[in-house]
Order: sequence, then structure tokens, then C-alpha cells
Amino acid sequence: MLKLDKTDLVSGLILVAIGLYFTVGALDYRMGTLTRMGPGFIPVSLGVVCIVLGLAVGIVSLGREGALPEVHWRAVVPVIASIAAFALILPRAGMLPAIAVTVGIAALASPRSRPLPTALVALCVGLLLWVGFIKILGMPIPVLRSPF
Amino acid sequence: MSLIDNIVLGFGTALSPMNLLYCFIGVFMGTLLGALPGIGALAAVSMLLPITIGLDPTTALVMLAGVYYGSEYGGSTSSILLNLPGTPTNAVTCLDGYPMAQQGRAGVALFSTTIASFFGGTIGVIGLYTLSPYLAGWAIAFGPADYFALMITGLVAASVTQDAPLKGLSMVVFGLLLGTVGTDVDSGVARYHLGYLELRDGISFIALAMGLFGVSEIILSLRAGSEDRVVENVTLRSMLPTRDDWKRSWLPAIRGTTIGSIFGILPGTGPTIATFMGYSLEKKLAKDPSRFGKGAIEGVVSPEAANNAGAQMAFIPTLSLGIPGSAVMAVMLGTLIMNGIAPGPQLMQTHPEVVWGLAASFWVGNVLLVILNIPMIGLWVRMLKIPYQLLFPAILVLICVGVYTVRASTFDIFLVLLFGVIGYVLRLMRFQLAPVLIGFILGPMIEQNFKRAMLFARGDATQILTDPLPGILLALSLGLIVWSVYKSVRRRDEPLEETA
Repeated sequence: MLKLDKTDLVSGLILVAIGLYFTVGALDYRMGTLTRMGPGFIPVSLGVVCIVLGLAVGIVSLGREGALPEVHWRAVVPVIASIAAFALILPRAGMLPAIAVTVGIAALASPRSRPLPTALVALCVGLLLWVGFIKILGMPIPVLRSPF
Repeated sequence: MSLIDNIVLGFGTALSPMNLLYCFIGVFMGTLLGALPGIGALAAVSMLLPITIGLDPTTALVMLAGVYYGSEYGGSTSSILLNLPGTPTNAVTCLDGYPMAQQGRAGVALFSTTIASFFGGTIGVIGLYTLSPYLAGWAIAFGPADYFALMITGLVAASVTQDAPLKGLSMVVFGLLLGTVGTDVDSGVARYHLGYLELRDGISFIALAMGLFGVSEIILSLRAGSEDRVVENVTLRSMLPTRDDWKRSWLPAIRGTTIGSIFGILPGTGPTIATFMGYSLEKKLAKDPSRFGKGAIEGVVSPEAANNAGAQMAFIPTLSLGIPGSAVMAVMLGTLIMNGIAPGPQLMQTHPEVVWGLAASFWVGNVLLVILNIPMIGLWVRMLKIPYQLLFPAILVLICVGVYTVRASTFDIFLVLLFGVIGYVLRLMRFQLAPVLIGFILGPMIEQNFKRAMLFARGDATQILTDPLPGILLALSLGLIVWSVYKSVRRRDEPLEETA
């Protein structure tokens, strides 16, 4: 069977994809000449370098055994969801509800979280940030507003 | 200006009540965050970056520098007590620090790290004061071609020294590409803005750093699991070293400092390599090498001294040339740029108070570190007992609120999310992320200098290559790439080392 390091192969593919994205995106911008470079010159050159490096990483992956790493969905999904929730709730309902929801969702990422300690964390963080950022530093953050 | 003038100006700036206060806050917060397992210096510095918005640039840098060495120190606490290195630079400290803790000598280990760090840091500050004016004086006459070549060399050195040179190099390129997002200075064309007004100013540097390092770090630590930690209490009395400890420690402290100073100046090598070198040197010199790994105090002192000396010396290329050797230094430069100060060899003339005030604050910060850590060790030990499942939701909220306050924009929170995912995937794929940030910071400067150099050369690329300094530097970079690729290909049949 063909020996290959799957992690490095995928790494190479990711690099090629990044390079392609930037190269194709930069084709809309003027290239210019070597003497007077346009806005597209550097991004296209870097994109091509990125593609070449990706191919090289992919080729080097051949002939060496290696499995793909495991994605830890249990941690990834709640962490991402909690950040998204914060960004969505903050402008609509204010900082305090956003903190409560974010802490609640994030806690799902750890199997060791318990409801009561999590609620206490949300309360403490909310209080601390309210006093620190808004009362003392006077940051313009909405604290609590009606979403309707 | 003479050395004395610089020192007077520096300490005058560093000892102003405002800077002293923020230095204290920085050191305190840095130690606090660094002591938490899983938060390295880089994550700590990026998380606290938003607090510096609106501060005077010197004060902002003083605080961030405080966070930096505070977290390095805090990391050594968790290495010794828990065998969990908070930062890669502290990994070596685990080797003999944890066995010392198991033998009930945790207090001595912590005390000697404090003193060794202070000693290394002091020498590093002296080096910064004496060497950087020469370096800046030499670089001030640089043309765009010289500067371009120097930055390329810095980038290559910072990326290909890793285990996988090609992957390191590609991360630099990725960082450079991210740096092209936003309005091009020459033509006014907004590149890759995807229709978002926010992206016309470029990717928010804070969102990038927090996502790549903060969020991905949290996800990875969650995977590692969080067992209950048993931490012994450390009392002040137990911290006093014996006469024998002193006798064993002073030479390793000097050797560690020397190694750290040399490696700190070189871009890309940084303190991590210095700590490993310091440790292995002590092991080679020891009369009885078998004591190492079983609680030899030399194995704690030398790497810690090397670490702090290296951390200070790394500011030399950052402040005098504008070339960051590590991702933390890239954050420092990013802070300068955000405040409208252009880094580079002219910095010492245009903003002497920033350079020398910062340099003096390192020493002041190191003094604070000693004052803070010896009596407060009990508090840090208690911090270590906080379970991770309570900690990480709070850290996530801090990241979100922090990045929002910078521009009052929820768009930046989504950017943090995006870069958190990208950072996590890249780390799973065994990519190093520090080169991304260095590339991102240097990207626009490299582009400007390259364009200018080519304009001067009338589009003739060979003119850059035949110019002595750029030619030598670029040849050196190419040689470094070829050599490390050759070495890594030769090594590939050997079993792969697992990187966390």
C-alpha cells in the first residue's frame, strides 16, 4: 500500500487552497510592472509561493506513515457557538445577557461543568466586567437593553 | 545621546507614577494568567492587549512588557508545582523543578527561579542599553533594498528553524498574505475586503492574535482534559535555599544568562532554544549528570536565567531594527503601529522616551516581580487550584469583551471566531502559528520596501542581488532554507516527534 502522512498531505492541500484563494482574488487588481508595481503584484506572487509550498509539503508527505489528527468536536462546537452567541446578543440585548449565554454555552465544552458553579462564574464575570470596564474605565458597551 | 542620558531618560519615564502603576498591573496580571496552566505568554499578552487601548504608547508597551515577563514567571510556577508548563519556554523547568517539588523543595525551586530570572533579566537590560544604539546607528543608513533583505532574513530565521521548515515557511507566507488584506497604500485599492467596510482598514491585529492564540489554545487545553490537581502549599520559610543550593546555583545562573543573551538577539531562535541549551550545558558540565531529572537545582536555575536574559535581549532587534524575533515581539510592534509610531532604526531618535522608558521599565518590572512573587507565592499557588472548567468560560468572555472594546465592533468578534477555527485547524495539522503573526506584522513593511527598492533599481531585480548587503542577506536566507529542508528530508525516516 502507498505510504503517506495524511496530516501533511491535508496540510499541503490547505496551503494550496489558501494560495489559490489569494491568487485568484488578486487577479482583479492591477499587476503593474516590476518598476511600478500595482496592488495585485505582491498578493499574486505570495499566492503562487504559497501554492508551491503547499505542493512541496504534499509531496514530502509521501513515503512516510501518519494518521489524521482527531477533531475534538465536544470542545470545538460549544466554544465557537459561545463566541458567536456573544457577538449576536451584545448589540441586541447588552453585555450582561451576552455573558450569561456565552458562559452557559461554553461550559458545555467540558464534561466536568456543573450548572451551579457555571452560573456563579457567569455572575462573577458579569459583575467584574460591569464594575471594571463600565464603571471604572467608562467603556461604551451596552450593559442591558431591551431586544424588542 | 550618551548612555547616561538614555538611562536617566529611561528611568525618569519608567518611574513616573502612571507607568509604574501600569507596570505593576502588567506584571500582576501577567503572573496571574501565566500561572494558569495552558495560557502562555503570547495568549496572555494578546488577551490583555485591549486594556492598553487609549493609553499613552509608552505606558501601553510598559504594561505589555510587564505581562510578558510576568507570564513567563507565572509559567515557571505551574511547571514546578504541577509539571504543566504554561509556556514552551518553561518546559525545561519541569524536568528538575517538578522532582524538586515532589521532594518537598518546591519553595526553594520557586525562590531560585525568581532570583535567577532577576539576574538574567538585569544582564539582559544592560545589554539592551549598551548594544541597541550601535545596531540602530548602523541600520539608520539602510535603503529600502537593505531593509527588505533584512526583514526577509528575519522572517526566514524565525520560521525555518522549526522541525518542519517548509510548513514554517508557508505559515510566514500565510501571514504575509493576511497582511495584504486592506487598502493598498500606493493605489488606494482595497484588497480582499469581501464587501465589509471593516476589512478596508485591514484585519484587526488584536482579533488575529486573540483568535489564533487565545481561542485555539482554549480548545486544545479542553482536549487535553483537566484532572483534579493536587498542589502543595508553599510557605515563605520553605523558600529559603540552603548554603549548598547557593553554591550550586551561581555559576549556572551566569552560564544560563550568557546563553540566553546570545540566543535572544538572534531572530527566530528566541528563549525556548536558549533554555534547552542552558539545561544541556549544565548536564554536560555536572560532575554527576545522573542527578539531572531528579531535582537538580542547576537544572532549574540555568534555563530560567537563560529564559529571562533571552526575553530581554529579544527586544534589541525589535526596538533597534523594527524586526520582531518572536510572536510576542510582533505583538509589541503591532502595538506601536496601532499608536501611529513607525518601528525601525529611527525609533530611537523620534521616540527616545518610548525605547529607553521601556528598557528601564524592564528592570523596574523585574524588581516588581521579585517583590511581588516572594510574598505572594501563596496566592499563585491558590490560582493553580482553580478548576479549568470554571476558568475557560470566563476567559472566553474576556476575549469577546476585550476585542469588542477596541473598535466597538461585533465584526471583530466574528473575526476572532474565524481565526480561532483557523488556528485550531492549523495546530491540529502540526503547523506553528508564531510565524503567521510575524509575517502579518512585517508584511506591509516588506511590501513597501520591496516596491521602493524595485523602483530605485528601475525594475532590475539583479541590482538588489548584486548589492553587497542585500545580496549577502538574501543568499544567507536561501542557504538557511536549503540547509534546513535538506536536514528535515534526511531525518524523515526517523520516528516523528509528537508536537502538542
